[in-house]
Order: sequence, then structure tokens, then C-alpha cells
Amino acid sequence: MSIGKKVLVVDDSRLTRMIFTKVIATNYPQWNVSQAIDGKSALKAAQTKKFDFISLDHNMPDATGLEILPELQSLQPGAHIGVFTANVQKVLHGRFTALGVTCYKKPLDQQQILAFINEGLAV
Amino acid sequence: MSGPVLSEEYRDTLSELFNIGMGRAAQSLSEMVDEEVILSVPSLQALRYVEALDLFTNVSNGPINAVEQHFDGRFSGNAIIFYTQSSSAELIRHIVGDLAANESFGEMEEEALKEVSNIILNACFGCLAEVLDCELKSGVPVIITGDIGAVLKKQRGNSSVDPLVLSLSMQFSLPNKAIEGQVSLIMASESIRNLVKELERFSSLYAM
Repeated sequence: MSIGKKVLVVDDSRLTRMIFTKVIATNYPQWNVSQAIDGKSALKAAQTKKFDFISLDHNMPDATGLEILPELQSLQPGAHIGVFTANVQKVLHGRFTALGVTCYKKPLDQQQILAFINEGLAV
Repeated sequence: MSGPVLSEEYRDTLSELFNIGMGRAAQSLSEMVDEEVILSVPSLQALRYVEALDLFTNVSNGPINAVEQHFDGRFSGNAIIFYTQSSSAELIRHIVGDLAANESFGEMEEEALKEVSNIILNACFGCLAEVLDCELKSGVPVIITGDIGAVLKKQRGNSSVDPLVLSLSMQFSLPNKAIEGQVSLIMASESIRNLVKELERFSSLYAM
């Protein structure tokens, strides 16, 4: 079932949060999307609400996605987490893959976002 | 132009497009030097020419090496990437090894710096063009050396009346080697307005 899923979009870019939210609202209008603008607010949101999907940026002002990922995974063991980053270096993607998450390359598009969602729904 | 040159929304959009472009550039650089390239969070400011001159002079009051490249399409301008001389020498040393063992700036060093800057700037142009769905043509990269004021004054001379400076501050570094660069775009007011039109069109696609 995919009714009423909760999504957290963690990104310091308003543009990215806007695109992600729009794609979810268009394809899954019954879903709820929350936004976090940095690592601190992402962890705060993860402490107070359960999410089914978390999209995580890497390069943020207060922390990197790689730094907060283990705590996010600990706080949200049931969430499907994907990293959406402009940093396309293989070594970085390798570190994320080792932590069990998939990296997606910015710029975001609907195809990538839906691939991430479908990956989570298939689990 | 009165009021802010770019709204917060459009500054955010442009910052993210540069962030993506620099991310691609970092991948290319990483392959060239066979090391991970660390990127800072970008910040973008839209400044009047005189404000930019003050800001850049405060940031770097020593001699610099800069690479300038013209871009042209639905909006146009000149992009400049600034390096301190020590940063550019260090960067070149990483790419061409002992050929650049000192900070003198010979033909080989110039070619290396132009090529690296060409990759970085075209990654930014490419990302802007791809996301905004337009074509941006770029000219050949040109080396400019001197103090930052002299570099900007040369650019001021090449620009039309009332140029604006979009200053993207983004550091990239290699492990244990502090190499910093700063990318700036110098655009005439008319061209900024055309850029804003493109950003408006793009943003309307995702308006809720």
C-alpha cells in the first residue's frame, strides 16, 4: 500500500525541495511531504515524526549528508533513504553505498525521484 | 534596476545550478588529479560593480591569476574564475606535476590553468543551459593576471553600461592541499533581466 506515506526532503536548496515536493504532490497527492533546510533540522524532524522516505542532500551548511546519515538511519530504521547530490564523485557515492543507500545525481528530475520512490515501495 | 537585483528565490535557484555545475566539475577534476575534491557550500551574491570590487579586494588583496570566458545565449556575460597565485600554482602542480615546480607562469602552466578553468566554467554553463533549457555558447578561455582590482577594471572596460556581478563563492580543495577558487559572472543589466525571465519560466514549472 502506498496511501498516506510520509516523505522528508532534506536539502538547503529551496529549488530542490520545491521540485521534490511538486513531483510527489503530482504523483502521490495523498502523501505528506515535510522539508528540512539543513542537517540540524533534519535530525530534529526525524526525532519527532516517523517517515517512510527521506531524500538527503550531501553538501549542506551545517553538516554533510554523510555525517548525519548514520543518525538518521538510527532514528528512522523503517525509512527508505536516498541521497540526492550534485557531488557526483565515485569515491563519495561509494561511501554512501557502503551505508546502504542509493545516490542520485542532481539536477533532480521526475524520473529519478520516482525511481527512488519505487525502489522504496518495492522493499 | 531598483530593489534587489535577484530575489531570494532566484538566488537560491542560481546557487543550486552552480552547485550542480561545480559538482560535475569536481568529478572531472577528481579524475584529473586522482584524488577526491572537497567542495564547500556555495554562496551567491548579486552585486553592483563597485560593491564587487570592494568585496573581492577584501577577500584577496594580493596578486591573482584569473581565467575569463565569455558566454552568450538568451543571456550573456563574462565568467571569471579567480585563484590566488599560490592556489593556481598548487593546482597546476597537481595536474602537470614537476612541470610546475615553481610559481612562475609559463606557457605550459597557462594552458593547464585555462583547461581546468574551462572544465569548471563549462560545467556551470552546461548546467545552466540544461536546466533552463537554453543554449549557451562559450568563448575561448583567456588568462588574466594582476591584482583583483586590475582584473575587474579590465572586465569593467569590456562590459556595457551598468554591469552587475554575480559572485559565486565556492571553495574546492584537495586533501592536505588548500586550493581555492572563486567563480564570478559579470553581466549587463539587460542580460540579468533576461536571466531572470528564464528563472521565472523555470520556477513556474514547479510552482505549487
